[in-house]
Amino acid sequence: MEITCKINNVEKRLVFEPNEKLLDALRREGYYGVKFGCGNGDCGACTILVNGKAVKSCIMFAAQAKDKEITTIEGLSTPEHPHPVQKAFVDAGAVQCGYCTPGMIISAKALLDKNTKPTEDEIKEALEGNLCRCTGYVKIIDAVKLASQRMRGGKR
Amino acid sequence: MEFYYPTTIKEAQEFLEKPSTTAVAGGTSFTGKSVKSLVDLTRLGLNYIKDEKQKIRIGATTTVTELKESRVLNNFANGILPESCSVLADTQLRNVITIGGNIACRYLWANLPPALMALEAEVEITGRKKRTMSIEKFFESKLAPGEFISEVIIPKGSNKGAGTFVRFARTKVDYPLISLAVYAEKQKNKISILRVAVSGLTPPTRIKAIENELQGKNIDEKLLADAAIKAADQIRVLKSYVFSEEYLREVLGVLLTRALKKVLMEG
Amino acid sequence: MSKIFKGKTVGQSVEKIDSLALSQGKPLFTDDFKVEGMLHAKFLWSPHAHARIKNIDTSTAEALPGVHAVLCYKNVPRVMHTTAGQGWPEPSPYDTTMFDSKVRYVGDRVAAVAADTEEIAENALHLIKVEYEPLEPVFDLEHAMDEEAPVIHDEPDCKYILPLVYEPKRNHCAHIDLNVGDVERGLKEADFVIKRKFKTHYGQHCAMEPHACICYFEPNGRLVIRSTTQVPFHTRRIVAQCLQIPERMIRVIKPRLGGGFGSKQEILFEDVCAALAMRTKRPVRLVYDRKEVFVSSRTRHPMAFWMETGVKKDGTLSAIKMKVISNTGAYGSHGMTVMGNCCAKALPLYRYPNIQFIGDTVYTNLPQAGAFRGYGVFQASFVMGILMDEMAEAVGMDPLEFWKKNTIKEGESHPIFESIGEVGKGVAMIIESCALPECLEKGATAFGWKEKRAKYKKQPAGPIKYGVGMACNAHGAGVPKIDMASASAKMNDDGSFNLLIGAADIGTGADTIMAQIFAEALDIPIEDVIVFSADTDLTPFDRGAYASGTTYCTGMAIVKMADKIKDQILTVAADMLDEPKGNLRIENKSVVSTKNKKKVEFHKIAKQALYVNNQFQIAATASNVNTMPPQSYSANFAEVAVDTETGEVKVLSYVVALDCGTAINPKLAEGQAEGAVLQAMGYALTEQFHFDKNGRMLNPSFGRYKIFSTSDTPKIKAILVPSYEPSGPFGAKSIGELCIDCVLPAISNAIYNAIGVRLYETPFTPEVVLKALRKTGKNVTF
Repeated sequence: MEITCKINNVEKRLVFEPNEKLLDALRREGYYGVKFGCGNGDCGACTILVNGKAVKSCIMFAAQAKDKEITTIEGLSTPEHPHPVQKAFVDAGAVQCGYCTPGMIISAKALLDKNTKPTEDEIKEALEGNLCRCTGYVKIIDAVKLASQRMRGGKR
Repeated sequence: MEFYYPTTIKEAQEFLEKPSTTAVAGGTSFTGKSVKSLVDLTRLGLNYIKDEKQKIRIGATTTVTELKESRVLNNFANGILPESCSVLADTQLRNVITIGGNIACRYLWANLPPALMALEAEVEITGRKKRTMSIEKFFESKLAPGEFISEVIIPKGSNKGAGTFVRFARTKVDYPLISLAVYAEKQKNKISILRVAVSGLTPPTRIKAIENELQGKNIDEKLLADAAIKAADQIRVLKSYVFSEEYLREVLGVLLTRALKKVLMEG
Repeated sequence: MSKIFKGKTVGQSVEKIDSLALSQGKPLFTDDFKVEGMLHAKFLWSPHAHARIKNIDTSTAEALPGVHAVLCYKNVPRVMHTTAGQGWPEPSPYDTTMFDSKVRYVGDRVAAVAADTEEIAENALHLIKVEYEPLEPVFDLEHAMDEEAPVIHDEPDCKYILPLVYEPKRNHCAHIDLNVGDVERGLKEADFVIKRKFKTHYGQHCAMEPHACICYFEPNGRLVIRSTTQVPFHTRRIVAQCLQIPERMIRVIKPRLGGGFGSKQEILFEDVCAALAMRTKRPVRLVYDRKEVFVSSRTRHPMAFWMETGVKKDGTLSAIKMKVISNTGAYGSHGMTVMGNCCAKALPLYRYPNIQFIGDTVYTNLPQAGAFRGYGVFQASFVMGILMDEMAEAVGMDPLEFWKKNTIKEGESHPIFESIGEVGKGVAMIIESCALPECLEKGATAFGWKEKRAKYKKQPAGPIKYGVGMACNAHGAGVPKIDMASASAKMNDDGSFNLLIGAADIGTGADTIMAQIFAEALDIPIEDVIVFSADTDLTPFDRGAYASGTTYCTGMAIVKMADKIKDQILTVAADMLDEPKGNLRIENKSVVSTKNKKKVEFHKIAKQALYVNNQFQIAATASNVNTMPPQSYSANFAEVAVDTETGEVKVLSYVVALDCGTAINPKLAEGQAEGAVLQAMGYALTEQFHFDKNGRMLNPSFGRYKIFSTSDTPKIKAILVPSYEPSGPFGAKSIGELCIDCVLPAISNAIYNAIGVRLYETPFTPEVVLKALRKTGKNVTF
């Protein structure tokens, strides 16, 4: 079947089997930043934004994306201008293997879009659906705090 | 396998009368492929929380995040429903799991059913006809073809008391091994209303035995504790490979005691 | 006294060179790749823990439209090998062949299909008809060597290629014993003797990226294997062995890798992917789903320990007996070496004059254990960390003082070093860098050890009790005399360098670390170093990412190679400046004279060498073999809250003060420490493989096998305590595994401090804690 939706601000026609999950359809379209970690909705590596809300794309049917606005990690920045959350992850040392990173950044962005001064508990809650095995989350939480500071200060 | 996008209640009902179809809202219960055709209920305008005089009406496709953040629900019955939402799965899942779905999937471990049972909520089922029933009744009955949960109704009559929701699991976002909702009202030092609902270690159920035992009694710490242990001892416990039956009973007794003390003896 | 090194690049937290690209989701991982005509492969797994395949009929599956090949024992060569990614000759038994006519655990390989789509491949699996003859399985490691136990490896052709103890007919996979001094006399001389049994359980790495492999062909027919491997060179060798083709026909490439922790130090399925590619003459993609990672990849080795330790009343360690049985599961990869490490790398921390070690590894019909961060030191540190705490209590010393008194010091040696290494015989070593005393001090201060110990002498009312515990460890870098790494570099027109290393960056930041070491050695900014790694055609040999060896071993290869490059640069510069070479030195991307103001920049030197006079490519390769495994050390402190009515244990804070020599990149080093600590915490408290009575894993998903997420994470603080290891690159040792080892004992000791109950078996689930409380009668009911 076929639907239209917006992906990273661009109108797209997605073609897929009715049974297919959004993660698979997106990766087939070349959005490799959306990762497969479990296929079960448990790890969050596949996190994208749908109409601004963080959502796990591996347990969403591609069909559910009809007429929705999807943001993947690829849509967050241009090579010359990384998104402040991406920059903060880099600067805080929050990227080790990088596999959980796109999903983490999307969840963090969703939080900061809604709450510009989150407490540590609010950051933890926003990211509790994104598993990471490399970092122990310490520098990831630092990165979100750093991003929040910078975004409030108007610095990029 | 087909995917349908009804835009009216009537269309939804007609699609669901086709053979081998099932409703989808958040879609999180379909971790594998779906054999049945799917009817997407999220484009029917069933996403609302209406604060009326006698009832709070919640549309079936209202998400857990929306319930969690609702000012109306946070100010009702001690915010027991939002409390159950804040320990339900994780942020991404809360953004898409709907109140209708969490009930309709009939998960034995779901958070919302016990919280809604403690509030004596009802589900409205839309089909050829509309029918309304308690959550408990819903768990005992089946949906006919063409039917789907359209609304959850919370009576406002009892909302002056205290409520609490407790969840026991291995980690914060784990499937709950025990979900416990307790709502109570007191008059002077007597228990005037008590509702206890549990799920996880047992299918979602009201523990009528403890409600009947404590109804009308004077609040006393030992009374509450003894009743809690007794209730835990008598409950039917489902097999789990994670913890033993004896252990889960013991923990239920502890959590229920603490919950009763919290709603009846604090503040 | 050790000096401390802080350089211009080494010792700085420079930006990890791939972190921006990773944060932008660039397609850098194995499966972010498509080849025209690529087929998709799926495995058929055994439903039985132990069975013979009486017959297998793949004809219906092969006839399904879209299916291009089905492999099983009937149509692949029988080549016994080990899947362990270790150097040759491998110290693991050759007990595996690509497909066998016997299955040895639920999740063992039966067949594999390559088809046009994943869906067709999955459908084909259902069409494969297998007739099994179920056999009696054995699951209990304590009974695997019993006479009546069923024989798991009854095939006549399993063997070691090294002269190691191997009795497969008794399910006896490995044996090591060691005696130092006179342990019986040592125990007699002790004033306190403590005898204990310990058990550790099945757990898994849970790297976020599942195992993946894509095989395709170059135009000239060579096979390219692109896979999630920690060991590209071992993979090339072992796949060549399995497919019976020359190694020169194979190229292995490791792209960015989403976490390893040892799970990818295996030739897990590259042999099958390659065999399917060769059979179909098409590219083939093979990716595990998460359930397959849990069941059919590798796990931690569960172990049982029988310990006896003696201490004198003045706190001096007198003797230790360590008996261990390690469960390697159905096949023996890393079975001997992990068990041997319980002694070789764990015990040299402690100043015992009398030591007896008896180690055995057994086969069981359970998932296959393999390499996992900690690698035996993890299990042994659990045991030793608690025994040290018990001995301290017996003699009436604060654990802090007891650890200080009884752990090895700079300048000392240990008899174990010479007797046994991670592989075979060890290497005598004198400790040239050890900042453990300072780690103890700094860690204890940052944690508030003295204050918290005093505070928790008096517990608050109510069901929650609080406690603190500590433990230390040592973990040696690399496998001496066996590990080899090499590095090459060439200079470009603009003075920049291509740095080519075989080393595998598995998310650790090894590429960045190596660039830092090279940049420091040549006094250039890190931007001038272009790293290319882990391609068996284009980069020189490196044993791969394991045994905490990359910084120490590959790093020294880079230092040696940079020396050669420096010499070539100075030769050209001497000619250009008309100065004796002896007067010249490197400074800030230039060569300067020490005698006058003459100076020439690197880019000018490069152009001179490439184009102008006596042209040659400034380039060099060097190799390094470690001669010893210098130890890194850590002091760990944990604070817990125990709910005595439910048994739940919550870690409130954790401090690890560590000595890894020079921390090449402090932020990355802290990241290793923080990640390792949390990984062990999940294993300590919530992670568990649950099996049914037929050996089938019941919870193969992140939904049911619980690792920690942000909301479970306590305060974790990593403190780098620098020292200087003269044999390491700019004084560096290692950190990859160091900080996972002490979490178990620190938490167990903290639980004891809180509720007076010692836990000797992992995991410390709430039910286990509550049961233990009840047994001692120390519980508090409401």
